[in-house]
Amino acid sequence: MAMGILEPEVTLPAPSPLRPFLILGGILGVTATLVFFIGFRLSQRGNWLPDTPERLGVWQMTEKPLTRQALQQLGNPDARGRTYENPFEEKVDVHVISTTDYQSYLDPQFTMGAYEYTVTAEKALPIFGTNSPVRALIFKSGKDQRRYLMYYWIQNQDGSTNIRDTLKRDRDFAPRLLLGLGATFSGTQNCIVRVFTPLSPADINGAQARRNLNEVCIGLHDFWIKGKKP
Amino acid sequence: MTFRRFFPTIAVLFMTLLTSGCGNDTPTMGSDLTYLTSPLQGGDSLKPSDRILPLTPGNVWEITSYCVGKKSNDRLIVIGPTTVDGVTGMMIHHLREGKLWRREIYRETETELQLLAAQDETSGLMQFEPPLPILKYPANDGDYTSWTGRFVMDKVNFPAYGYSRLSGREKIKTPAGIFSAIRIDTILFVTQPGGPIRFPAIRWLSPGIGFVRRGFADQGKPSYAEVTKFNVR
Repeated sequence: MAMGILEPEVTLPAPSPLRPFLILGGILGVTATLVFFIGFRLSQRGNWLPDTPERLGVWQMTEKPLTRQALQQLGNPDARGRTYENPFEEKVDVHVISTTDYQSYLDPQFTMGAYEYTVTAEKALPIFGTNSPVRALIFKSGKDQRRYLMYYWIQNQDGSTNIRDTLKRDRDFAPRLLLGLGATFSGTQNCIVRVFTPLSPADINGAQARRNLNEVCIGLHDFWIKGKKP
Repeated sequence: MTFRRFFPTIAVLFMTLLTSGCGNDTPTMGSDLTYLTSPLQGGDSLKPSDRILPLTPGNVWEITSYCVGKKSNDRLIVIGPTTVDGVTGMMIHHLREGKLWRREIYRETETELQLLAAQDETSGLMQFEPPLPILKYPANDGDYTSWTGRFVMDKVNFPAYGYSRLSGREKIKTPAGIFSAIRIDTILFVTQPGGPIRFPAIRWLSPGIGFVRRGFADQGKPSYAEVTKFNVR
């Protein structure tokens, strides 16, 4: 410009008045395809619902289906409800829940809250090895002050566990996105496992309750992963 | 930075933050954390030298028993060696208000603490073949012992099975003091027409002292007893 050279003027064609709508339509189309694909992958990943054995060492299994209310909370997934009882009449309840829908991942802290239970302690315990933790939770009843010990984890078919994928609330955007992305990129099928038992007042430090849950959980894990009969 | 470069950078940063999270997934927290952190093994493995049930003849435990609101003063005395079907154990007499009410025969080996036989006032001698293990050494908290054999009473055989478990170590407060005790849960199932009969028992044994508390079924009724005085060598 300073040299006095004139650049030729370029005349751009006038933008189409439909352009913003076309872009928006494109974005919506891609989003809808992505949502459909993620939903499809999620339901595909959640089709694994392993059975539980009749006996786990000294533990004898009986059927105890989940209540209608409990299933509704989780979006009515396929689920197995079992009770294992040892010769000393100590009981451990097992829920195996399919993960075909986001709602299955609702955090037990949220679901148990509906029954007036609050979490009074929480810790990750590596009961299947250092890379396969479970979430250990103590629930206390607001009605009668009874305590329950629960182990909660997502069991992948390849043997690993996951305690991260969980929805703290019904509409939890970021975890939903993570779950969707995880389902899209990982083909490993999984299910949710909740194992719980009441804490007896005589079990002062909860050691026997933890030993009982450890026995049942390790037995189930071995049965599912190694096909090992306990 | 142009918008074309800025937007993808922000998008990648957002997704990275979202997918990586920001720290520990499961916090270690809560007022009841002791239920999740206390050790599952309360001490060293138990060995015969721990003498959880000293069976020296003359040892005495004075105990108070409670059964459905009824209180009684009992005394356990180690009488001496007795042989049952070729196996020698130590006979313990259980006196209730001064009268012989029950007998139990225990045996301790290098590998097991066993119950050979028992008898109460309403039955003949109830014998376990092979001896019923209460504990197998070395014993750790949570260890199970299972048993399958025969329950012989008045020369009649009943198939039977049972389990025993070292359930843990507890501080037990009794009129005789506070004891560090081993809790052993035992359950015996005697098979008979109409279904098995259960015989549950819980023994709290303190090393070097023996019985400090017992819980068992007294003719089907829950019974509970604790030591008030002892003289043990």
